[in-house]
Amino acid sequence: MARLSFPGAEPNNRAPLLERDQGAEITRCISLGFSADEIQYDWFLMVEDTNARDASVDDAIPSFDLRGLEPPQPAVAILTLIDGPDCGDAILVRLEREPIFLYPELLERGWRWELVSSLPGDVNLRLTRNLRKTE
Amino acid sequence: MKFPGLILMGAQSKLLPPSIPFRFFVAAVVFHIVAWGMMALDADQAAQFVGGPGVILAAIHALTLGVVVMTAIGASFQILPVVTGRPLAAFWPCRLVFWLFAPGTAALVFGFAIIDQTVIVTGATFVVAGLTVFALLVADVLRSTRGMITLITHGWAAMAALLSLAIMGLMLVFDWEYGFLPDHGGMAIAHVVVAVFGFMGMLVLGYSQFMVPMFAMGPSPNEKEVHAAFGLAAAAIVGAAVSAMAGSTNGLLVAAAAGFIGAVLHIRTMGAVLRDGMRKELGLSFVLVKAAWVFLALAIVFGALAMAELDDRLIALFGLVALLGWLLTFLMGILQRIIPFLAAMNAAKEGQTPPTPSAVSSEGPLKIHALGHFLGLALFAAAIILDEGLLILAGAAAGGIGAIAFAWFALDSLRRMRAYGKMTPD
Repeated sequence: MARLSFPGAEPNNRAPLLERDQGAEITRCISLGFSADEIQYDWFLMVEDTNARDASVDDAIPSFDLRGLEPPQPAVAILTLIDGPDCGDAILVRLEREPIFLYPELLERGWRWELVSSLPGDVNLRLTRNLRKTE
Repeated sequence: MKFPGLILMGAQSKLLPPSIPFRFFVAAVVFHIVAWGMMALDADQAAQFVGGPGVILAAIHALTLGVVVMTAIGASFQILPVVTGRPLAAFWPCRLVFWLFAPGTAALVFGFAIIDQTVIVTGATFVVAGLTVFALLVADVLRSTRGMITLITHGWAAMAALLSLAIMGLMLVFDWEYGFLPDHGGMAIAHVVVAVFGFMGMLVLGYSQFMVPMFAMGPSPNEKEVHAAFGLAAAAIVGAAVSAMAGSTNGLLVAAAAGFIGAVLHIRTMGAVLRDGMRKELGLSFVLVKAAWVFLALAIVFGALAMAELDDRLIALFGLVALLGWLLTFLMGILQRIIPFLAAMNAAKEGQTPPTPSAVSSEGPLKIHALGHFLGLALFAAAIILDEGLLILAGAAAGGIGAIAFAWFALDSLRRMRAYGKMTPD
């Protein structure tokens, strides 16, 4: 399974647990005009959350906790992430709501999604790049 | 394109059964054709309309209730639960809303056209009953939503406006029979302000905080500016309604000034979202949305000038710019994004790959619609300024062709949605 790889961040370095208001920080980064790469780098350091992983999910997949962001910012954050050159082939995201409006965007980009778990206020999605997109 | 092995879970479970939103959207596209067509039935009156029952009032209600509110109800039922994460109380009241509101609107429009008080009262009663159930459903979602302050405040303001306009609408209808209102004209102006800017305006402003960043893949709007625009708009709507009923022209002008500043602030905020958005190519839908923002500001200016009684034609120009220019243009822009999205998400069965929205929609009819829509608007404006009924006929023909093209687009999306479900193996 491919990993996200960002400059200065070793894949095995686990960032501190996510604080919920870090979602607001992502919004601030976007509003300040940070590039996708810069924001992704920040996200990796800020929001990688090992607790977001489901026990049944491959531990090698990076996960991102986007709770605390109001719609549509989780969708914007995910698209910024997967559009980036350093994004791997799979990520886990943790959200407050299922991002229905994101799905057509994922389809257009050749990504698939799987609802790993869904509780009120806590939705886990596994997003995977479709490697056979060009076939 | 189908990607083998795609896992689709959850989307359908969060979306309403497609028959619920689509019944409202299909009804809206039908009323859309009816509204343009009715303008042609009384072309001479349309150019100098200032109020009162008849074919033109019928056409206006086909447009406002039949198209604008019908679309808003269908979109609200679908969008609110998705955005807030709070489900609707049940599906059956959504169907009940349709069966009260759609026939009620048809009866009201027909009653206005033939000037029959019994039909008008019957239609208005069904409309108000449908809107009441709608308001209760929306209020239940708003009540249980945590966070999302901007959406919630706009939502509650819209529901308060809906309650007020329904009461005022019923009073106006019964006043024709019993003549108990001291100032029927003042109440009619207040009804227009609360309906156009209060109910629909607050819904449009509220949903824009979510929909525009979603389509543009942009940042959330600046919250301080959103709150300031909301405060100005709310104060302007209340001020204008009270001033209209009190017969205060100065009060109306002050309210219009506040509303204009609020509208400019809203447009500025939305412009910033588009400027900072990841997606720069927003297509034809946002040509309509951007034009609608310009019409919003123009509508307030024309409304203020009409209240100052500078020219008799300003009332009709205000109606044209506010209803057809702002609300209809905006909603058609948004609807041409929502219909393919819902069609795509509902096309596949559980476990199947859904198509992309572009695979279930066709661009051609939308270009015809946009052309017909803007041509219709321009010809109507010329007809009002020149007081020329023939131009109304030409405008109605252009707008009507645009409306038929939009219906073609919507029905084609539905056809493709159904065809995809049949073609794709389980």
